[in-house]
Amino acid sequence: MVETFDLSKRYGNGVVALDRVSLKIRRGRIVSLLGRNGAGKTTLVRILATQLRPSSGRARVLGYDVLEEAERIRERIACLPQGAEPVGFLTVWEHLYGYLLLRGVGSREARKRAREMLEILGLESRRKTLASELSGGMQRKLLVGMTLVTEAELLFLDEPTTGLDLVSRGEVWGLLREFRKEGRTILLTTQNMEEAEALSDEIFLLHRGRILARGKAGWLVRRVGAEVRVEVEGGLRPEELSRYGRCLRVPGSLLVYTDGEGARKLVGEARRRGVQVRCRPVDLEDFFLLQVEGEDGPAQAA
Amino acid sequence: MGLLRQLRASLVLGWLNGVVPIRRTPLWVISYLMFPLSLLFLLGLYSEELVDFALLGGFLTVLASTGIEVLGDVAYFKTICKVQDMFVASPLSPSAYLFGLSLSSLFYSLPGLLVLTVASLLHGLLSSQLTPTLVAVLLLIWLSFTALGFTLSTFIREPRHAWPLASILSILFSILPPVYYPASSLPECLLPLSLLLPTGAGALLLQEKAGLVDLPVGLAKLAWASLIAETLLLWLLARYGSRWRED
Repeated sequence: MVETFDLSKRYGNGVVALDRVSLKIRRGRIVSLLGRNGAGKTTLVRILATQLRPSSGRARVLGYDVLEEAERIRERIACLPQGAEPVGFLTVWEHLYGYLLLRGVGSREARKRAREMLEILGLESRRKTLASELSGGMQRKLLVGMTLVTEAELLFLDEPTTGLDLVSRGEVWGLLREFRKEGRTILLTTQNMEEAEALSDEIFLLHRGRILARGKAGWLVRRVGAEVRVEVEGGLRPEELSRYGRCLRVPGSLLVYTDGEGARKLVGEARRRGVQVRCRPVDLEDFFLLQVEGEDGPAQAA
Repeated sequence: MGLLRQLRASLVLGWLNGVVPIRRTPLWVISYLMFPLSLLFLLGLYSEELVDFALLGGFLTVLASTGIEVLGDVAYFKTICKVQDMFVASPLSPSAYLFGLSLSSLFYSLPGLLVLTVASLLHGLLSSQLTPTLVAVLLLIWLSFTALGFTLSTFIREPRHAWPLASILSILFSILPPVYYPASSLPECLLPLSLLLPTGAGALLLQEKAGLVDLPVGLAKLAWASLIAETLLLWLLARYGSRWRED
């Protein structure tokens, strides 16, 4: 469905946003590009969505080349750019219905789909409300709805839930899961580990324009090689902590990755010395931190 | 997406970006009329003979200023709302997008053109001889200025620069060439220079056809050729020179 071969992007100012990225994404999945700001996620999505030219390498989307067959791709994709906002002077209905007409959908079909999407989004009562009068969460839902209503085979969603509260975020996740059930594919970028973990069939971890790791969330978490993360806030030196497991310095605290027994011993030691600790099972964030530390060294890990 | 669907998409964009905002904020229409109506008032006070020039200039200014305002529209869609990226990654073609924005600027200018038409009829300016020339010139001015606005917009990274630039350009294009003053008041050697701007060429043609000035032999033909060539050039520049997909 999506394939890239040594895809690179160097901007005019010399910044290398993508560095020989090769990946393959299969149909009917939600795939997340996970990484920090400047990791290259948006650049990759913009190239695949035919908005930006690569500097070198090749990319094929839905079997078509992004440079030579962009029109064929554009008929079958929809995209929600990072930081997009609805047009303030248009109503909710005009966004959904108008966008479908702009994409060439017949007016009867567009009306039907827009009505259904209003219902799915729970915005029927806001049909005639100007987008500028919606809350931030509703605006975001509307934009996600605009991409879903297209019924495109492949969706590119660049940080679709940024700025949403927990309830709105859960609603958007629900919409995306429904979309996947219809056999469609979503390429999602996010900085939110929880989102990547909750939604993705596969995760690509991007860092400094390169893919550091890929796989299912559970598999990536297992690669941490520990069960528990113990966060220690001062009072114990890294040399002392390293006998319990792998130690990682992050701003304001030290993280120790260990097993259940190691965690129990470490917590006991910390209590004796009056040091505050917090424990939790390892998750995707820990995999991310350890991978980035491996690349950048401890100073930049967090 | 076939040609008819692209055309329909242009109409939809024109409606959404032109008619809908005018209905919700009619002040926009008044703002586009303020400059030509102010000049009409001032020139009318100064001399009755200059009213015809002010009316013809008003027609050109309304279309030029709403046309170049496409610059601001694209900046809004591209940089503030970022919905242009949604359009790029869709079957909507760059030409249909450009034409849709052009239509929306035409919708913005229609109320102004109507006011000026009524004023011209009342003043006895419009005639069966002038009207076809007026329509043709206005059509070319509309196309050239929307294309110019679209082309410039692709080079603007900071949206706050778009609106002042559009205002400055529309004033320059309306004041420098003989749009509000008789072309005959320019030295003959400078007349061809006014053809370098679409509004200059358009004004020469309208003033000559309305019987307000006598142009040197052959200059009217040259003005038509300039106006058509400039429109074609600007439209081609907008279509192929603007960056639909970024580098």
